[in-house]
Amino acid sequence: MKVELERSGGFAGRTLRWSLDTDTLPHEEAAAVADLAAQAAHWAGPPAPGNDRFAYRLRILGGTEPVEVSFGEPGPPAARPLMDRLRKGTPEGD
Amino acid sequence: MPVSCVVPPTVLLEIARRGTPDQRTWALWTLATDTSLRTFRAVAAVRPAGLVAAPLTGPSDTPKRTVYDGAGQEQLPGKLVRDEGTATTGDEAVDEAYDGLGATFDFYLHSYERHSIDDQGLPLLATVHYGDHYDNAFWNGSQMVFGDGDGELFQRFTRSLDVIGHELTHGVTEDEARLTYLGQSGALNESISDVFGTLVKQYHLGQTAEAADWLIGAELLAPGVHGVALRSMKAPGTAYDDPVLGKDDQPATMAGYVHTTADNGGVHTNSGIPNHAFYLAATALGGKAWEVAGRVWYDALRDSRLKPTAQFHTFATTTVRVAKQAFDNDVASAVRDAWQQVGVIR
Ligand SMILES: [Zn+2]
Repeated sequence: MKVELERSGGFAGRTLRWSLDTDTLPHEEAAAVADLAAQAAHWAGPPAPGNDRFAYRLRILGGTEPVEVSFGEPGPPAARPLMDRLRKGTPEGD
Repeated sequence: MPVSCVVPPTVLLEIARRGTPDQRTWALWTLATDTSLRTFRAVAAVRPAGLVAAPLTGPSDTPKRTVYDGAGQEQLPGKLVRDEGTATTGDEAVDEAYDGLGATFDFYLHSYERHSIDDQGLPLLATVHYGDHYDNAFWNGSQMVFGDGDGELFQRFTRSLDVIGHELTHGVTEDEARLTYLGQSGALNESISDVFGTLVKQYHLGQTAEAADWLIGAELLAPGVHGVALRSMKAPGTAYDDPVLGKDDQPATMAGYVHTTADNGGVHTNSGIPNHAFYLAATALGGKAWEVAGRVWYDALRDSRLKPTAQFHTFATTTVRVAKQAFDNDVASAVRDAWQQVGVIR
């Protein structure tokens, strides 16, 4: 399973992407990420109000079916553990 | 954002006469925001002695600033650390925000006779030290928010006066043209914040269009980053090119317009096109950019015919029309020429 988090917008208008491939993780951690990712379809939400806010898009590939949801910063509380896990890695820019 | 009064004045007057002290204070304050003469006479009749006179003569020429400390949390507004007329705190972010809000207030007042965000003296609220190494500044619909930056790419966002002017201008745009934050109208919204943000800095420094650097966020790039700023209105696409930060991808003309689903359709990217048009108009007109080019853009932003969904072309023709109204054919032709150079007007 591949999990990708995209953050766009903000004052600098810089798009960053963090991704994780559960095949490259130790078994226990891969299972934990997959458990979190299984909830992702419920995380869609409105953009943050105002201007220069960060916008997030989360994509899950290789699960039972592909999921793509968008939400404004800081994101739904349920999504935070997965977002934090992804953001531990080094992002790729555009 | 005018204060809306949903309770009829007759009811408020009744509360002002017979309510508890708290109710009386609230009712009088609410009535005081209604500046009609009829209400003025009615309030004068019930105002208790000793109550501070409410401003019934229009907005003040001094700002009402309040700065909060977010203390590393993502919660607003945070703890009040400095309000209007109080001394410096020694916290650079707090004092930069306070001074920057003041410089922006002065710019709008003296350049366009505008009293704050809503032209009615709206208090200016800002939170600094928002979030943990937070790499951003934003307007949340009612206040400005500034992060400290990650320290490696970006330093604290209050370092750049144009960034403070940019955020406050989002409030002005929300009060005037209400440009939809998506696609071209969103890129116009962004560009207007860059235009007036950089004009705040030029006004503060007393710079002419020729002397100005036309950079956005020059002071907040961390040492060692390969770049001069976050954006360049003079040469969009050249502000930075760094192995970690990446490369400035702003287009200067319609030929480079970026189609993307990120960032509300690339609002911080395609803003390079109207940004460059403003730079070209301002430098062609010469002198202090806020006096002629800035006035034209300000009039366009306030034009009643400009819709929230306005695209580049409509905004461009609006600036040409208002330039003719406020100035003359020469100014209008310089403005038209600028939009032609960036490919918005053929
Ligand atoms: Zn902005």
